Amino acid sequence: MSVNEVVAGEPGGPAPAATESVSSRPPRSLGREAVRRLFRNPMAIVGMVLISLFVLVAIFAPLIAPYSPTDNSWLDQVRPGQYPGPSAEHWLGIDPLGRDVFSRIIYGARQSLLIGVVSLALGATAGIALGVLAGAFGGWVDTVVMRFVDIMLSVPGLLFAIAVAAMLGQSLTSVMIAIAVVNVPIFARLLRGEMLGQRGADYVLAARSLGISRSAIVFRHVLPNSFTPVLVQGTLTLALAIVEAAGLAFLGLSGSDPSAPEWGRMLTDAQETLTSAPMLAVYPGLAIVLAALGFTLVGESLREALDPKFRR
Amino acid sequence: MRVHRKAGRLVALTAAAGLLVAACGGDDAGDSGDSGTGNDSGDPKTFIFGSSEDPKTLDAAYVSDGESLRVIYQVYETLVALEPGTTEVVPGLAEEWEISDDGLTYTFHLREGVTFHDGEPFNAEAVCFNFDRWYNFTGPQQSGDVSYYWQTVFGGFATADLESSPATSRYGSCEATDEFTATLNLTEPSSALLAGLVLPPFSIASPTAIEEGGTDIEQAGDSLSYTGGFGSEVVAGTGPFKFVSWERGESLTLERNDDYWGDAPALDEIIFRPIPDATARLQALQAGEIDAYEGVNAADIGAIESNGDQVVERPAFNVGYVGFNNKLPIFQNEKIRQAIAHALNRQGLLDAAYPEGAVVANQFLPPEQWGYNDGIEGYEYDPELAKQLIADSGETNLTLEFWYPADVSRPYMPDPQAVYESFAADLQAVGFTIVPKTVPWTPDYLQNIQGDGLGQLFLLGWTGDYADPDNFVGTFFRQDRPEFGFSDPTIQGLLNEALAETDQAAREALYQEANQAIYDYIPGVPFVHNQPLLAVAGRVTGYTPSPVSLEDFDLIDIEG
Amino acid sequence: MLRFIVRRLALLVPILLGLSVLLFAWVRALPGGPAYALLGERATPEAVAAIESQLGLDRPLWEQYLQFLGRAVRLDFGASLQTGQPVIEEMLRRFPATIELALAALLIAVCVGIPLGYLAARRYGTWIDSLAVTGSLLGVTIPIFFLAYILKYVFAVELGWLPTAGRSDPRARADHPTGFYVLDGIITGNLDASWDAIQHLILPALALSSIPLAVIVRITRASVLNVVNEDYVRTAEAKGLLPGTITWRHVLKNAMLPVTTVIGLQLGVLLAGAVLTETVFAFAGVGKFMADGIVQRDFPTIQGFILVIAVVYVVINMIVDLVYGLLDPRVRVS
Repeated sequence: MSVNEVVAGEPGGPAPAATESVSSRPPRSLGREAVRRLFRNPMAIVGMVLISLFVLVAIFAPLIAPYSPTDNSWLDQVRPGQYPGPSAEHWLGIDPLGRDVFSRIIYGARQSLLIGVVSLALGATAGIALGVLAGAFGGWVDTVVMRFVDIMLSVPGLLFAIAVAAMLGQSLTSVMIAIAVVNVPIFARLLRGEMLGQRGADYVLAARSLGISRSAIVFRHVLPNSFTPVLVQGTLTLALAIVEAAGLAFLGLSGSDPSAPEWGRMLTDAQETLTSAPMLAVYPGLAIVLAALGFTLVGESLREALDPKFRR
Repeated sequence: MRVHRKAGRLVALTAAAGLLVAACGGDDAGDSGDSGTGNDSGDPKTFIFGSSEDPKTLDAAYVSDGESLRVIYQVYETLVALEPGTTEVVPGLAEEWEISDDGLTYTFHLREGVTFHDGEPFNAEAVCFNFDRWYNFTGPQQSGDVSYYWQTVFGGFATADLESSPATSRYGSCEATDEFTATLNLTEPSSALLAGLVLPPFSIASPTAIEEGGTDIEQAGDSLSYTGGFGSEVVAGTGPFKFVSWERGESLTLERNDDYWGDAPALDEIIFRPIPDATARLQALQAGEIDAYEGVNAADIGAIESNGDQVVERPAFNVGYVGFNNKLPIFQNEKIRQAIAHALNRQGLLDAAYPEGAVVANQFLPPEQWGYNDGIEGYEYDPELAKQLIADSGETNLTLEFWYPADVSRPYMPDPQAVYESFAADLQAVGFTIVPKTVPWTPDYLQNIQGDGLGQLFLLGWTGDYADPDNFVGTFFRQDRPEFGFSDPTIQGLLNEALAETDQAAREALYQEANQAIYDYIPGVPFVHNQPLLAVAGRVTGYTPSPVSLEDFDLIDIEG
Repeated sequence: MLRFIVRRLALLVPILLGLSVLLFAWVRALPGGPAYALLGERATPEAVAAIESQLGLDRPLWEQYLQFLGRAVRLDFGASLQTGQPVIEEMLRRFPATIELALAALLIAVCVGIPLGYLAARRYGTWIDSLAVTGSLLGVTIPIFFLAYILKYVFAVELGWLPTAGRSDPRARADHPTGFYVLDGIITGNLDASWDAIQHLILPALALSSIPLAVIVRITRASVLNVVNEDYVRTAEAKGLLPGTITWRHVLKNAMLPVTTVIGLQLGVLLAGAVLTETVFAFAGVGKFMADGIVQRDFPTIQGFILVIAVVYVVINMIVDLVYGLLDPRVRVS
């Protein structure tokens, strides 16, 4: 194995522990032991609480939010640089365009969750397809696919996303595709490396000696056993998607409807009133950090729980 | 800031220990501050302007963007100038001038004893050299984005090299009648010529510098490149400041011209520092790193003033409007146009998001501009009436695309997104369904709206180049424009008649009549005449805001 | 060793070719196209046609591509539409800025990240460990521009310790022979200029270091945990070697392998982060220029810069692999 494949790390975020794909180790699954360790890890608990909160808020936004996020009935209470702060009617105050900040934060969870889930699904699907292609067939297919992946990786993620968004125009869909595209090579590389590692594993050699067909080995044994790191990566990717959406919004690339509340955009818009109303930036900023932190904590804990090396 | 310098070093040192140890080992004892020339005692008077980007070039003939014009305005001068802070035309490099009765011959009597920054004398030959240079632009120099103002004021060139080049030119010739008399001959009269000549692109530059530096524009691959050294390495005008150095992306430095023919400027040097991000400019002002910046957010006024700095308002010489694409069937229904005019809470938006000096617009030209019709009352904000009008209109499909530009700040519209959001909410409240459409300002937005007429509802506006109503309403409505998509014989007739009219009083009356006709038709809803804001450091005096954004930095002084 | 380098460099050729095709295709796929970008608001159909024929845009695509490739080989990428300056000059001006910033950020990340990761691993399972891990994860989840504004507000505006924008004090007018401002000061003997440049680097580098820092903390922690459980460390401990010796000779040296690789991979992260950081700090580097270039259809800039970044990326990865080989005799670079 070339050293190139040692680390399936990705630009833009946490790389999986480097040693994972180097060693060929026995197949593992989401065993009971792993789950037990996961639930004993306080970081994982905090992460799961954050995720649950995030998802629940997103689902039940209309029930939780006191007002419509686009209702600007309170415009007459707003003057440049003077925005009513928290009150009994408006828990987090009123934004510069006369809307209820709390309701916008609540509804914003929907958009952020949507961006995260859809871009993850798109990116992971395409990446997994490429990875399986390379990992299962090997040879020239592997070479071609991996060179393509190398090309994708050689362009910094955010620039890549901007380029895609510029091509597709300003819309929520193009933001999701842009973020997804960045993740494709990461998943491809990860899965392919994992599958290569498994190929030399004892159980594969045993299966081969039993005369089991190559495709059966790949799809019944190697692939399922290679999915664990993908799962971990997926959790982390979800977190990054939320943060990356904010970065794109800052560069002026976000969904076309600015009235629809989205945390990244709210944070970007709030920079304009940073001196007069810093809290308007803090609320969406905190929301992004907490949601992303939730996924990251769970992802990291999951990785540890699954890795026998961390057993002490 | 200075009080904390020592402590700052300490923290900085700990923060990036490794870097500093490597790079800065011997510097601990140095007490000379962080800049070579910026000694705290006996300071040179340096004014640092936080611009939003670098100038394109300092070759005045090639530019039309604000950042280039601002620098050029300090270095070069034009034959006729503006009284600071107004749009009044006053003597510049020409002390006086005569216009022949047929309006075809302009005789300029030039100021004597003026020298260019490179030591060459200023005379009639230099003036004609510049005019001939502009008239004889070839190839890419005739591109609309290179010689925009020449084409606006004079039309075409000696030859028409590009298909887009205007076919005819108002320019005839320039003669150096004697050393200090330059005669400009036109092929057709133009009532706006003098007003146009104050623009910085008509700056008189040193012929020697132009020839030495070179003014080539080359086609390089897919693009045009300013390969000439004039305007980047060699810069020589007659203005109160002369060019020193330009480190792109970092700073552009000018220093006082000690041989200036007029009053000597108080400043020793001016530095233009590009800071693209608006919030970053505010922070730089608060930290004392820059002395002024343009495009102040109304929300920051309080923060700026409480920091001891000043907010300066430019006179409102602009208009922002919600345009209708009147070729669409729904906009051909007069009731719908009226409904939108009554549905928009313009005062509410201005109160919430614009500086106090901004006023609701009812006409497509500012009140300061002659030709404004004082008799027009304005559309009342009345959502109930709007709903009634929609019901009466008989239209059932009330879905409209509403276009706004992304990522841009215009004098009449500091935050287009906020304007969109506010108006979209107003329109939804009376029953419209609004589909947002947004693209970057250049090149997409202007191309889609003004070029291809793709807009339905759209945000746009205009800042006057010079003080003539034709520069406002004439630009919008004298000819068919793709963005408005309508052709009203009454309005176009009045505007064309007004342009051809030579009697001032009659012209004014015609423009007032035209404004009433536009108001009655409602081809769009003007919503603001804004006072664009500048922030200026507390220690700066004499910053004189200009309605056309051309400010003389030689009037500025720095206290203490 | 030499064969390895040659082989890796040969790998550049297909990557660059592929990338150039993709870039070319992407530019042509963008709405508007170069002519509109050039003419801006004054574009009429006639003017667009004129420009297109002038620029050869009406010729077959493959012919245009070959032309583009031919110029690119000679490092002629045309002129930036944003500034009207040759792209190659913009590169010489802007790459040093971004590299300086990225190195400073990496330095912070390495100097803080490795000790922190080591500490977390040695105190595995304690609150120190949780704090280090959670804290570094926080760095990944804070939008970098938000962090940048906060840093600026606290250290520049409120405390006045550090400057808010730019790479140097514009009044100083120092000479910049290389474009690396810190280095320039040393070369020209103007240490004040170096110090000034460092002051301007600190805040943007801190903001930019947040993600690499988090990654390095985690990788260091994971690999140290791996190593301390290995037999040879246990043996060393049993032999009664001094803890310091064990730490340096056995644990850290072996744990550094994956860390080195990860550091190499941070290039993409740093460049992506630089887009946002440079915007907030008005730092005239590559990132902001390219992001604007994409939005404003500055094709010559985008094509040139991305190709150069790809070369840098591949070369850095090669260097990382070489270092890897030096650190670990088991990996033979052949």
